[in-house]
Amino acid sequence: MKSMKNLLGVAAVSAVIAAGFASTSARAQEAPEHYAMVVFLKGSEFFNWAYAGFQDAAKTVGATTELQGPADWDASAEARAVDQLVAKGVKGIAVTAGDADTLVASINAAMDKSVPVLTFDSDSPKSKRLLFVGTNNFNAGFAAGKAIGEKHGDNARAGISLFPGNDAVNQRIQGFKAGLASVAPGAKVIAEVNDEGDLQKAEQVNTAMLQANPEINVIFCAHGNPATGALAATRNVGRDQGDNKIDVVAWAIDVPILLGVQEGEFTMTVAQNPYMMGVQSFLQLWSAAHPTQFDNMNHPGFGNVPTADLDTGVKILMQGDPAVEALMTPPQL
Amino acid sequence: MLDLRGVTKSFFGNQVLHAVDFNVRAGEVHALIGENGAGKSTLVNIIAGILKRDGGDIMFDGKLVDFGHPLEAMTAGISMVHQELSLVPNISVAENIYLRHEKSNTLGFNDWRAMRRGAAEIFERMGVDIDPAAPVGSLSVGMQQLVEVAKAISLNARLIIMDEPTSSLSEKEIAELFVVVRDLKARGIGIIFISHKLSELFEISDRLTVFRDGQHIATKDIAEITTEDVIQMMVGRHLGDLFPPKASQIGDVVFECTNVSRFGYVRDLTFNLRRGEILGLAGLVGSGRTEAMRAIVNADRRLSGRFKLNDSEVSLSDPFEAMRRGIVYVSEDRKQSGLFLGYDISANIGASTLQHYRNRFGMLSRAALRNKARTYVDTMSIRLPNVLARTIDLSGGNQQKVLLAKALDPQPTVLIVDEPTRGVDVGAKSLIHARLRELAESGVGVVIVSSEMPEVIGMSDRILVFRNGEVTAELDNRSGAVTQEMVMTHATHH
Amino acid sequence: MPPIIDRQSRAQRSAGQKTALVQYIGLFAITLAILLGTQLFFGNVLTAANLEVLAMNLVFEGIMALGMTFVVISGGIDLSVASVFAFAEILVAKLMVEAGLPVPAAIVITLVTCTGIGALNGFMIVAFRVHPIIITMGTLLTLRGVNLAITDGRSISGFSEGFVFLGSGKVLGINFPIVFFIVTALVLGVLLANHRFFRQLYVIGGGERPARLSGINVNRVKIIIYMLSATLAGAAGIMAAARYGAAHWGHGNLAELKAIAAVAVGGANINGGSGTIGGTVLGVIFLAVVHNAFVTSAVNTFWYDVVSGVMLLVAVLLSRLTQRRNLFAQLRIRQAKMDQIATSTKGESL
Repeated sequence: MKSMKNLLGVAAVSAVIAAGFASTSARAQEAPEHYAMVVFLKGSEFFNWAYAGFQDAAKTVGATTELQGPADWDASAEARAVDQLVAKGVKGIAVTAGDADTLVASINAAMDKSVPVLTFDSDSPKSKRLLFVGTNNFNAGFAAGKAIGEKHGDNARAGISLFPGNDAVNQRIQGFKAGLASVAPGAKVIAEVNDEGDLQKAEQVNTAMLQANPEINVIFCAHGNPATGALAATRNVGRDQGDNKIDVVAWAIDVPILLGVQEGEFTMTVAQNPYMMGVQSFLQLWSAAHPTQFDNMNHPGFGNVPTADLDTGVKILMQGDPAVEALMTPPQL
Repeated sequence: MLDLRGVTKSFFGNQVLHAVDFNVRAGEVHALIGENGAGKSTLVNIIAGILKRDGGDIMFDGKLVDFGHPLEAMTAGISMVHQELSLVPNISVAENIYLRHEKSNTLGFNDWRAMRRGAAEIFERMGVDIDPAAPVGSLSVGMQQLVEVAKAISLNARLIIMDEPTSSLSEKEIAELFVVVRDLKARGIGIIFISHKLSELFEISDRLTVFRDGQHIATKDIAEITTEDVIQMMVGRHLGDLFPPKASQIGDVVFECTNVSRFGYVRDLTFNLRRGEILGLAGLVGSGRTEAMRAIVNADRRLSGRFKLNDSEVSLSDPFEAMRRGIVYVSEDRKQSGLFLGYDISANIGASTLQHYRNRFGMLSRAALRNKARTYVDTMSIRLPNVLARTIDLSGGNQQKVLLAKALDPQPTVLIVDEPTRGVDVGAKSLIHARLRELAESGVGVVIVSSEMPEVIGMSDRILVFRNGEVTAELDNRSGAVTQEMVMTHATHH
Repeated sequence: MPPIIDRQSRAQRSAGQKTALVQYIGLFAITLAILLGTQLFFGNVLTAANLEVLAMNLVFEGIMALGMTFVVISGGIDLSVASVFAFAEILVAKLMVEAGLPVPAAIVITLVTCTGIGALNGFMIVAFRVHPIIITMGTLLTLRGVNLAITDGRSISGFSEGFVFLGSGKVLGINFPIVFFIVTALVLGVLLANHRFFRQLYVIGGGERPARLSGINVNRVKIIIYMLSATLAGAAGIMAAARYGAAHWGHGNLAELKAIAAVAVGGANINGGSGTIGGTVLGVIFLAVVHNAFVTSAVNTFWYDVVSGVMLLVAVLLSRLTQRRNLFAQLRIRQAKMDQIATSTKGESL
């Protein structure tokens, strides 16, 4: 008697669960084409911007989208998500690689099954992905260097806050130096310090750098973390305002940094464009999923996409730029 | 077959067995009896290899033995049926019986069929019908007791120790157990039988040994002695003038409780308490005294009960409400639920009265608290290594005094103390007794719960005797006429 | 004297077995219902490709859950499995790629090292008498730091074909890790049900005091169980490195919770004393199917964590409820006894 009751309960629960799945997404099934984005750190603002672009671009052609991936750094969970989406039968997948190597097998398996896959923001270069959509670090650094060169001319004396051994950071620094030289051949980078990616460490090493090199008038932050620490360093040597103010160039679009730009604390910040990454990711996937009379040159069987990586560019944001305000309003998902 | 000579044992410098001699013959039931703490359990635990003796010799089958582990005793042929059962509820009867001597093949895989068959054979021999495949947890306590016996038989035990096997059995189950015990006896197996129930011992045993205060008092053939003799031997000493005088004057009823019940423990308890009176609760361990007191303040949820404090109805829905109304319960377990051992004594004493110690900003005044603690240190003669000593660093007696001070700080009208002097040295004991009497004389109603019968009798003006969750007797002790025999008579079955 | 007959145990035995059976059948039925429901509404579920993905999705956590079952039955818990898993990935990768050891040697060294970590866990638990949750959490955090430090946060890749087989090769058309899971579950399941060494776990989990009184070397058994758990986590890590073609410190994050969840959903009492490998396997399948249903139905995946969390809560509450029922049954026996004595002694003078 009791076991019968239990079984009935079980049946009821299953029915409710099944109905729940059905009601929440019955519409998803009717949609003709379905694309997916896979990220790590799901829920972070940066990837929310990217997914918003992906989703908005999909709407313009009547396609649907979904977002998958772990809320932490676990790239193996991304690999499993890619596998699962392929099994489910999505039309295309845009993935940002939490770890380049971990995703190779899953991306290749998807491409072998004719599901177009591209990477955005973080690449997996050893995989067969169609292309990479994201910021070209050299170009981004170049833009920052050029902006500084235009402001200070040959008088620019720059210090750089970095952590060594990272390809992206190295490319940014090379770009920065090239950009500076392109408009101000007399400008110089006179010191580089290792902030170890840590805020407090950044304040410490930048203060030491400024004390040792009083001629420095620009600090270029080659990645997202040290900006606030570098700003504190200028305060420590009393050069955070006035004629002798040191220009701090940040590399982030976090709200605190944007506020700092608005209030003139940071002279400029290098703003990547995650929304554009999302838009372009979708458009390239759509294109790859719809072959035309000419085959894709690198990946036969797919539609045409650029044969080189796609640079979504950066914007050098300064005080008064309306884009600063826009970036502070989070995207609708 | 078993012969102990001069066995001694002490815990933390406290001698619990004083050079004890004891022997068991094959095919006899040897009863072991004594008050709580007389040393019976320690003795049998040593025999079964659970505890190590400090000195003395143990001969088993004419050979000197020294068991370091219960398993060694088991293989030698000594098994113990524990008071709190040592069976595993989630696994089957057969598996429990053959635990650690499984019938298994060379690879270690159990032969379930052989084990079930073996268990069934043992049960058949015992004349009981228990399903060997049933999980032990589904059996009644009585049946579990029989499974323990079966386990001993499966080990080919020639000496079986039964530590209060009947304490949680019904009359019918006891009768069934006795059938089995007689059968074991007939096979030449020796049995040590511990029980508080005298009538049982007279029914089942051949010889009887009395223990008191860790000493072997006497061993007699059962035919030679009477119940009265046994009780006399158990109690032994006379209650000297160790205790403070009885109440000089007893006032009106201050607290009344009616029909207090707690499921499984206490049944329809009704009593009243008068101003200036010390009421003692006596009874064996497990008779429901402590449970009844905890049910009054609702520290454990009660089924029913109504209370009147100073003639007005009170609800007493939790210990805090009870305390606010002036009814303070002092737990028997000072370490687990009485004291904050990691803190100094002022924090302990003020733990339930912090709101009284405020400075002019309404914040806790540590100075006031410390001053108050100092007065208690004086009145209770608490000995401290230093003023900021943590309570854990105090001796048991001083901890108990701190616990009492904590209970007195809210100025109770009714004080219920559970085991006020357990693990306390003689000096501290008489000081605590004196303070409790002073408290009663000042008009507080005091209830003392104690397993030490001399304490209950020596302290109380009136005694309630508990048995099986019920009060079996109410004894007037204003004149000090109550004897331990009288209490024991009502506390045990006849 | 007629034989003493115990009708109660016979009746209750079948009742008890029925409850366990109903629990398993219920879990299986829910799992099946979700599987069929999603197939019905969304399709593409009962395809070979999706079932393979479904199984591979939780296979490493599943292998860890097998070891966790043993630990939980013995009354313990092992939080360190996730970082042992990542550590095994990194160690086997370093041994092959950086030290150039042949595959079998690298695997053996890695497994032995993981067994050692388990032994250390077990030793600290029995020697310091600290709750396993604290000790294994310490190991979890320490080892995660080690993983990060010895790799500088970078992944290691470039494995041989032979090694990659362990992650994505197929035996009789089934992925090797799944074959490993099935075989291990079968072997461990039989051992746990029938072997006298592993039966001791139920005794220890039921209460350490009775276990010691019955002559069980509790400390030794516990240490061996933590060794087993860490070794299985290490084996899972080796296969994961092969499966992803890379070793990375971030892999398997929170796997310990998924493994514990599978054990709990599978009906084991998290306080020890009960649980079976069969139940755990059902629990793993259940969690895998629920996860798959979320992807298939494309419900906002932010909700997945909510639902799996709630599932775990329900499972734990159920086990707590069973416990309370047992406690109440004991109380009822006491009360009945009191009633019986009260009636039998009525009329006796006080």
